[in-house]
Amino acid sequence: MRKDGDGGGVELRVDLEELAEVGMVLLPGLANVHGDAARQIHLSSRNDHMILRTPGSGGERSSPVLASWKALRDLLQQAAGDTTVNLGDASKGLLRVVEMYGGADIENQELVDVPVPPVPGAPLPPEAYRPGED
Amino acid sequence: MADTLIEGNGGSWGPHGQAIRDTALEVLELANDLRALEVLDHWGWGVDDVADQGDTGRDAILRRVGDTHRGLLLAQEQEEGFQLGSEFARIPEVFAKYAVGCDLAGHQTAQADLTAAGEILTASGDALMDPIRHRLSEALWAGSAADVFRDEVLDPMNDVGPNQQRAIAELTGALNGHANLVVAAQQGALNIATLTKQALEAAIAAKAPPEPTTMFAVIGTALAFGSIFVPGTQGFALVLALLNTSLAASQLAYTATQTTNPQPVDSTIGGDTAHMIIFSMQVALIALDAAVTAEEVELARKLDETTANFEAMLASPKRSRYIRAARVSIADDAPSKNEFRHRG
Repeated sequence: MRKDGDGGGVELRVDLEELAEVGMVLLPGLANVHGDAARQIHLSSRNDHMILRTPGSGGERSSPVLASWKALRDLLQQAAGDTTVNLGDASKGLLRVVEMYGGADIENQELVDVPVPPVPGAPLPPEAYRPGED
Repeated sequence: MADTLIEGNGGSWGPHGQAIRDTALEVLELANDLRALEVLDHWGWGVDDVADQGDTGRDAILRRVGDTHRGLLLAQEQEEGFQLGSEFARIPEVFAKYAVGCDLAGHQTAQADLTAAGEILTASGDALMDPIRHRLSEALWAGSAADVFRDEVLDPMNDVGPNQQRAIAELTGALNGHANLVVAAQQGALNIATLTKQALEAAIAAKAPPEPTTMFAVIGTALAFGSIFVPGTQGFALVLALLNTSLAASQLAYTATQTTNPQPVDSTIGGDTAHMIIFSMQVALIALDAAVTAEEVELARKLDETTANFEAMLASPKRSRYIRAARVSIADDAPSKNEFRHRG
């Protein structure tokens, strides 16, 4: 979230723990559910050889319904599988965002810790003066 | 969700398979009986000579006519081109294709699998989505990456599960519809066999052929209105059209038979009644097959329509995210470290 900082600039505040939980736990959980659904849809293909036979053919002819039914079923299975994979990728993406936020924090912290080099002509900071050294 | 499939189908026989087989055998016997009466009644054969014998095949008839008439019968057969007792031998075979191959266990298993998939998808709804929305809200995550994630993944996911469930409902609905059609086709075949049997019995008992109009009306009514095909569907319309056409053809054939095959004076059964009744039966079966085909085509067309809609959505980058989770590259859109100044 962008927010006005005390110095009049803009700062970004993100709770990395919340974001990490979404990327590491919640989104993979959602992906798993869709994976389970995809596997269950796939299971329905185990009887393809014996279902949807044309009535009155003694079970010898497959119905024209079978090809249409399989086409939709396979498309649905593909969509469910893609959902699983894509949600998995999205969770990885979120974790990458968390990583980048974390990396930026560390770098910013290092910047704060490094003493500011003196500017020629500017007064030295108070800590530059040590009693007894004049 | 679609209705539950019909249960108790009795294996590959289906719910009516054994009744169809048994009735077809009775039709065969009765057709042979009636035909024997038609051919042999001028030699003094009566109903009692042919009915309830349990075996009216060719060998039995030749044995029963005895030496006196066997030569005459063979000569008549030769002259007219038929063989008594073997003319209707294919009837059991004709009905067998309706009696067997009707195992619905596969339908039921597939429907159970798909129903389970639908229930799993229900779990992907708010129960799983709400915590994600809540965490993201708490995280105060914003920016281009956050927008991409919300707009392309999170919000469309509200529709992904329900849309996939709709496809599942189409699939289970088609299984149900086809299972009902299997049972209806069996019921239709059984009705035809039963009505044919009754027509043959009536002809034998009354020593008179049934009116073709009456017989076709009965068969047509059984086919069209016997809860086999839903009025308004292609199958229903086709059945009626075929029956109307075949009724006219049968009446013509019946008239021609009476004209060209004058019977002996003492005959009480006119024309080739047995063949006429079996012809009616065959036409009814053709109508049944045609109606079944029309219903199957309609079921397939509905599925194809759903598949086409599904494919069109998947082909559209903007719409596909509502059928399957969008494929996004959040890392590419993530803010660079130079954008950060402070994290509170």
